[in-house]
Amino acid sequence: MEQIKNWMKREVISITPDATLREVAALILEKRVGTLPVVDNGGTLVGTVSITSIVKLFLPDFVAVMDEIDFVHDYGDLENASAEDQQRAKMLHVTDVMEEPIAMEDEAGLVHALSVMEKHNLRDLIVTRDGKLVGIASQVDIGRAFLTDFTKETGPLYS
Amino acid sequence: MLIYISVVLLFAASFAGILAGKAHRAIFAMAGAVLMVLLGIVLDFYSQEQALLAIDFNTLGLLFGMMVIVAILKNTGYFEYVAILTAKRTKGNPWILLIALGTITTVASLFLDNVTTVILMAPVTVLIAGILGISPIPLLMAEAFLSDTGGVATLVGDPPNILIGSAANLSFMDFVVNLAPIVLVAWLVTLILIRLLFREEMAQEPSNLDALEALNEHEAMKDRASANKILIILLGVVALFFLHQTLHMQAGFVALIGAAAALIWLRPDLEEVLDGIEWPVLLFFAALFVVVGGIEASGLLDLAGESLTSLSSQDVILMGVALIWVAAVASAIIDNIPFTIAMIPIIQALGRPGLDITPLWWALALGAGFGGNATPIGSTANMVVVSLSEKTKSPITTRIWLRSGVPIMIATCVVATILFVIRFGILK
Repeated sequence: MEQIKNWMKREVISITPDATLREVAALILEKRVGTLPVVDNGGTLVGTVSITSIVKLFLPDFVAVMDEIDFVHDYGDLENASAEDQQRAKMLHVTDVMEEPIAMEDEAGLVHALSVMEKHNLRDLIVTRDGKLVGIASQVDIGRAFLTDFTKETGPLYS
Repeated sequence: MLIYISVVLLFAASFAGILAGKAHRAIFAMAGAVLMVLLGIVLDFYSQEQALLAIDFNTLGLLFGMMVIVAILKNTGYFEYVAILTAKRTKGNPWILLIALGTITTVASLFLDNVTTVILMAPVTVLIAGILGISPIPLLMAEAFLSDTGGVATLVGDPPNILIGSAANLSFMDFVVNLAPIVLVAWLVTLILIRLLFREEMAQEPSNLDALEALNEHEAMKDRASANKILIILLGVVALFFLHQTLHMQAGFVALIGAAAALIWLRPDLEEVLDGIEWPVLLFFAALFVVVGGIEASGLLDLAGESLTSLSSQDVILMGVALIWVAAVASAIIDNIPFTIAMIPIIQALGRPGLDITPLWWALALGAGFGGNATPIGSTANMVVVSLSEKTKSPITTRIWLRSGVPIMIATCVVATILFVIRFGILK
């Protein structure tokens, strides 16, 4: 059985719960990552914060309450980032937007990992050992593992 | 004596459970109903057959029938269509927009459940306010205030009215003739107060008028063919409501005719329609009927009625005024449905040959309806608006609500009191 630990990235950029949202945003931009694990001083994973959860703060109100928005064609001034939204976002901390962490132990199998990512709609999967952060695997990382296996197969194509 | 004490204790316990909100109110009501029947069997005052007869199937049929029609209507996008079309005509003026959206909500809530109307109107209101860059709060609150107030005018506009109409055998026209004039004045007073209380927000300059113009109401209407059919059905139902007494039809039967006609004409996915039915509400009503039926069967209310036999018709007007205010305060703090169900047998017990207690029913409807405006929990429509606003960046806090809700409740109850005394005391 292939395990996640063979396909994950071991150098993980993480952030502490006391960081501000601006610090998180800057770090995400600088390191070109999509998800940051939030880790307390003891190394325990307490949450995750992603680009998606930050940009949600800039969505217009009606998107949260309307089932369908396809008939709205002109967003007018809503296209310009509102100063209020910016101001409000600046006041926030990681803990205000972070999500419950969904993590897997590094010994877990790839099919298990793929299934959990699919069900929870995750782009990145946090990997832990005994609750401590040890790695992160993206959809692409897990996908590569499967494709590698798949192309190795000796089927009629290669015979 | 043992019967009276145990019935009162059981009623108090179920009521406390309903109000404490530790679980869905229907669960406590159902537990109370089962215990009441059990008590009735053990103490030999209330049988299982009596309990079944206590359930008012006219009320349940009315609620169910209208829920079916609404479940079909809400998926057509018709409300979004009307709201957008109207908003474009207002040219974005916040005050005219508020009157327009408030009026649509009120007219709809005369014939449909307030909660449904608000659920359908509030999201598109947030959209329109967002596009115009104005605060959605006054618009949302006005929709709740105006539909709560307006709904009092008809038999089907408000759940307490459905209960009262069924218990006292009052027709749709009885409600329109006796309550609509009072409600109209109260509605206008509410509108004026909203204007005064939200004068700052009403002075906001809307931006993006082009964006408002670009909203396409025809695209918002998802299913025009179904919308047209269901509207024809709804108009037929409303016409029958006006005539139901003349035709010797129960209002519940009229609603069920409409529901059956809609289902056979549109043949929608039945599972989907039934998913839209608020079963907890129907269960809650049915269970409360069984509980109240037990209280009636125990003879407790006859006891109360006998001690008040010296009532004159003048006393009825005085009691009516008191009832408006008691009902208003009660339904501001607690749900007005259990309150109404509890009051119905008490008022019935006061009736006797030669004394017309009908004004008391109108007083109860006015108080229970107008009182709901005061607090965010006073009516289900208020709760819907508040919880929707919590998903946006400008949530309606309890403080914001009370600042306008309390003055509106007091003003409408003053209007109700004055017009009640004139209409039923002086002009009778």
